[in-house]
Amino acid sequence: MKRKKTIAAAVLAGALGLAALGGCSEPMADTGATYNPGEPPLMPASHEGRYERLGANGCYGCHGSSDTAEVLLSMATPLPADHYVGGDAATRAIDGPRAECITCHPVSQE
Amino acid sequence: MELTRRAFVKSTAVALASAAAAGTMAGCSSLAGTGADSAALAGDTVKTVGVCRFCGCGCGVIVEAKDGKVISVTGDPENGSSRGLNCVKGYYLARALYGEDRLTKPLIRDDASTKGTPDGLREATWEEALDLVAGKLRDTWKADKSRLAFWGSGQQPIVEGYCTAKFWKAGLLSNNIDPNARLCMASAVVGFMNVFQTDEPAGCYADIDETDVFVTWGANMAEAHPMLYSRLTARKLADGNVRHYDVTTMTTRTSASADKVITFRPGSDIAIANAIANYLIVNDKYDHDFVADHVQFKQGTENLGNATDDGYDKSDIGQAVDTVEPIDFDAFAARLAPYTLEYAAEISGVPAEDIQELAEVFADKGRKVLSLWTMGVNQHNRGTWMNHCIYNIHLLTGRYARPGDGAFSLTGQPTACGTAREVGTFSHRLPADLVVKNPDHRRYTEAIWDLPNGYLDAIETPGFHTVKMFRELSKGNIDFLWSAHNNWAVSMPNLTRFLGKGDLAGINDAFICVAEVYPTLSCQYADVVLPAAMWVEREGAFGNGERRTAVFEKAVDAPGEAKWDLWMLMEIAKRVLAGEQIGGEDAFDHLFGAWYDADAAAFKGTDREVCASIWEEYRTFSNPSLNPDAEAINAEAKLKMEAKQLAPYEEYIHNHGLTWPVREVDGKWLPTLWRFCDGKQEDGFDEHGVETYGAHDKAGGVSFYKSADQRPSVVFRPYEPPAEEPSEEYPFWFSTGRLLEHWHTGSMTRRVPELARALPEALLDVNPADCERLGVTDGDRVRLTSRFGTCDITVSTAGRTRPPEGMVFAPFFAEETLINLVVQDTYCPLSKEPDFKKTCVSIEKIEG
Repeated sequence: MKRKKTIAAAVLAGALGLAALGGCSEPMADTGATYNPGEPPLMPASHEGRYERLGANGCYGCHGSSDTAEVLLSMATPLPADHYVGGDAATRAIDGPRAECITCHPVSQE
Repeated sequence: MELTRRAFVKSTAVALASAAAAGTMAGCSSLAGTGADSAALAGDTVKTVGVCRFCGCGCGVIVEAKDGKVISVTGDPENGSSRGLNCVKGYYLARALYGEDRLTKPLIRDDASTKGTPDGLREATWEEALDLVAGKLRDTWKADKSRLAFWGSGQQPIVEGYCTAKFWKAGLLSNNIDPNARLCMASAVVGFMNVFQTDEPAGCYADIDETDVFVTWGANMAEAHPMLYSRLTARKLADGNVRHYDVTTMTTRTSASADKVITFRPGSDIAIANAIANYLIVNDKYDHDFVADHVQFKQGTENLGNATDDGYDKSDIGQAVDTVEPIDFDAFAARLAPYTLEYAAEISGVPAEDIQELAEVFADKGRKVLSLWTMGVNQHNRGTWMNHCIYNIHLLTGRYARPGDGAFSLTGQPTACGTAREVGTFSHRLPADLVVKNPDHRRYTEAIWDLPNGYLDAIETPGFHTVKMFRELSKGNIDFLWSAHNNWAVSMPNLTRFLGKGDLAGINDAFICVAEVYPTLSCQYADVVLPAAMWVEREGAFGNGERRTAVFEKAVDAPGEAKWDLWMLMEIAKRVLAGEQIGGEDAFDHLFGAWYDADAAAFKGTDREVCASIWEEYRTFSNPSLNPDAEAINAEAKLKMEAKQLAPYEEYIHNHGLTWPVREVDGKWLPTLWRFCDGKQEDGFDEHGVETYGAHDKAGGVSFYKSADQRPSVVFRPYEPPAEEPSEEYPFWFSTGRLLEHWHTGSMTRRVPELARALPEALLDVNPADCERLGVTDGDRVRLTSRFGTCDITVSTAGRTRPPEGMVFAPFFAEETLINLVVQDTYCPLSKEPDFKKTCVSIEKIEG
C-alpha cells in the first residue's frame, strides 16, 4: 500500500513537473519534437502497430502507474494525471474516454 | 422519462484534470482574462472559450493566447458535447493558424491562361480586389442571374452563413447558392424531412453513454468522429455487456471495438436493413404499441435508375423521385416479404445467421440500441433511401427519440447543422427549415427581413445544387463563382471534368473568387483570392451534430491584411447593391445596415456586438413573438417556428453552448437534449414542445409533434443496385473518405508538422490477395483508372483500412494524389449527394 502511494506521488510529480516545464515548451526525448502545452506527443515510429495489437494496456505498461512498470525508471513519458480516473494516478485506472490512446497520440511515420 | 445515471465521464474528474493543467500553466502565464478585448496588455496570456473548427463533433476548447498569438488549445470541460475531450487535430489547432504560407494579401490573376498552375497571381489592394469581384458579380447579375453562383460550406460560421444567404436570396434574388454540406449530409437531411418533416436528430451524444448495443452503419467514427468514438469505447469499457456491431464494407479502426464486423457488398445495405425489418414483422417482434401510436406507412417511386447524366433531374423519373403514397401495414409487410434473410445474404454476401443475429438485437426489448451512421450511408446512390431504412427498423421497434435508444446520423462538419441546415444555405432553402417553394415560408421570411409582400416570389424555384453548379461551370454556363470555407478543386467528385480536363471552356472563362486562408488548389483556378481571417481570428458560432450551438470568441487578430469573411461579404454586397432599392430604401442599408456602416466600410461595434446583432435577427425565425408580422403568419399557417427555438446570444457564451430548442423557464434558458421525448425540461427532455404541440402518454413516452399527423413515415424502399458494379474493365470497388489526422482536404492540418508526420501521404489500401494477383507490393506506384478519370497513388497493405478482396480505399486529403479525379459524380436522386464510396476502378502497376 505504501509503495503504491509512493509511485502514484512520483507519477503525479513527474506529470506535473513535465507539464510545468512544457508550459514554456520542452523537447521530448523520444522524437526530438517540441510540444506546446496541451499538445499530445506523437508515438515514435518504433511503436507502429503497437496500439492496434495491444490496446491501451500496451501503452499503460510503460507509461502508466503500476507495480510492475515504473515510468520514471523506464524513461517513458508518464501519463499525465488527467488521464486517470478522478485525475489521480493512484487509481491506476485510465479515465474511460482517454483509453483510445491513438486518437490523440498517432504514430510518427518519420 | 427517467435517465439511468451511468458513470462515464465523471465531471468531477474532468474538472480536477482541468484544474491541474491550469495550475501547471501558471508557471508562465498570468491569470486568464475574459475575452480578447482584455488582451491588450503585452505579456499577458488570455484564455477564451471556443469550439474546434474541424469535424461535426463540435468539441469545446479553451484557447490561450499571448502577445497576439494563440499558444495553446485544450479541452473545455464545461462544453456539454465533449466534456473536456478532444482529438489530436483539436489539440494542435493553435499550429493550424501559423503555417508559413498564410494568405495575407488579396491576389489577382491577370491572365486566365495561367489557371491550373501555381503561377499567375499578383498582390493587390483590397480596394482593387473588391472592386473587381463586385464588378464581375454585378455585371453577371444584371446580364443573367442564372449564371452566378456561391459555393459555401458546413464550416461557414452561423452569422456569416446567415448574411450570405440573405444577400444571395434577398439581395440578388438568386437561389444559386449551395454548401459543400451537400457532399456530406444532404441524404440525411432529405431522410429527416421525408420521415419526420423536420431536419434534426432527436437524440444527442449522451445516448452513447446510455445505450446497450451500438450498431455502426457505414461509419468510421474512430477516424472521422474521434471524440464520439472515444465515448463509445469508454461505454464498452465501463460495462462488459455492451455490444457493438460494425456494419461496413471494409474493416476500419472502428471495427476494433466491434464484437461482430458485418462486411457487406457495397450498396447492399438496403437489402440487409429490409431483411431485418421483414424478420421483425414476420416473427412478430416489432413494437405494436409504438407502431399503433406513432407510425404511418408509405411507398414511393421506384426503379430510379442513376443520376449520372446531366439530364437526370429533368427526366420523367428524375421529376418523380420525391413522390410517395400512403399504404397500410399489411401492404408494407407485403413489400418487405421478398427480403428474407437468405435473399439479403445472397445480395450482400453476409451470412443469413449474422443478419438474423442483428435483427434479434433490435427485437430484444430488454436492451437499448443506438444506430450511428456517417458517409457510407449518406454518400450512396440510394443515400436517402438507406436513411429511411434505418429509421424504419428503429420506428418498428420503438427505438427512437428515447435516451440510449435511437438512430443518429453523425454529421461531418463543424456547422453543417448550424449553418448549412439550420440557417439554410442551400439552393432550395430559406432560414430555419423553410423552403423557397412554399408561399407561407416566403411570407414569413419577408416579414423578418422586412421585404415587400411577395418580394421573394422571384426565388420560388430552387437553384443549382452543388453537382449541377459545377457541371454548369464546366460547361461554360457559369460566369461568376464565389467560394468560401471549402476547397472544391480537391473535394468535388469527378474533378477530371470540373478542373477543365473534360469540358475545357468553363473554368477558364468563368470569373472565380476564392476566399481562403492558405494557397489551396482551388486558388490555382481563382481570378481573385481574398485572404481570410481564420477561426478565432474573429468571433463566430457553430452548430454541431447534436443540435448544440456554441460560440468561439475572438482570441487574436488575423495576420497581415487578412479579413473576416463577413467584412468581405459586406463590402462586396455594398458595391453590388449600390443604387438598388428595396421598399423605397437603399437596398444594402435595408438588409445589412443594422450592423454595417457602408460609408465607413466598418462594422457598427465589436465582433461580439456584430455577431449578437445578426444573431438576434436570425433568432427571430425561431422566436416569432419578436416580430408581430411573423407571429401572425406563424399562427395562421401553423408553421410551429418556435419548435426550434434559439436563445439570446449571450446564453451561448455563458453556457459554453446549448442544444436547441432552448426554452425560457422562470427566466432561465434551458436546452433540450432528447427531442420529442416527454419529461422535465430541466433534465434535458422536450417538456415544452410536447406540452405545446404534442400529446402525453403515447407509447414510449415520445410525441412526434412536428411530423404530419404527428406520425413519422415508415417508407418502403427497395434494394436497387449501385450505379456501376465491378466489371472486367474496372474490377475493383474504390471508396474514399477522411482519416484521423487530416481535416478534409488537409489545407490546414497538413501545415501542422505533427499531423503531417503522423499521416504524410495518401496511400491506396489494397487487400494482400489482390496485391498478389496484381503483382504489386507495399510502396509500389499504381495507376487508378475509372470511367471518369485517372490518378497515380502508392499501394499499402498496412494502411488504416483493411478492405476485402475486390475493394480498395484511399483518403481524399492529398492534393498531389487528387483521388477525386477518379471518383464518380453520380448522386442520390433525392438528395443530390454524390456517391463517393462506390466508383469502379482498374489498378495498373506503373513500372520504373
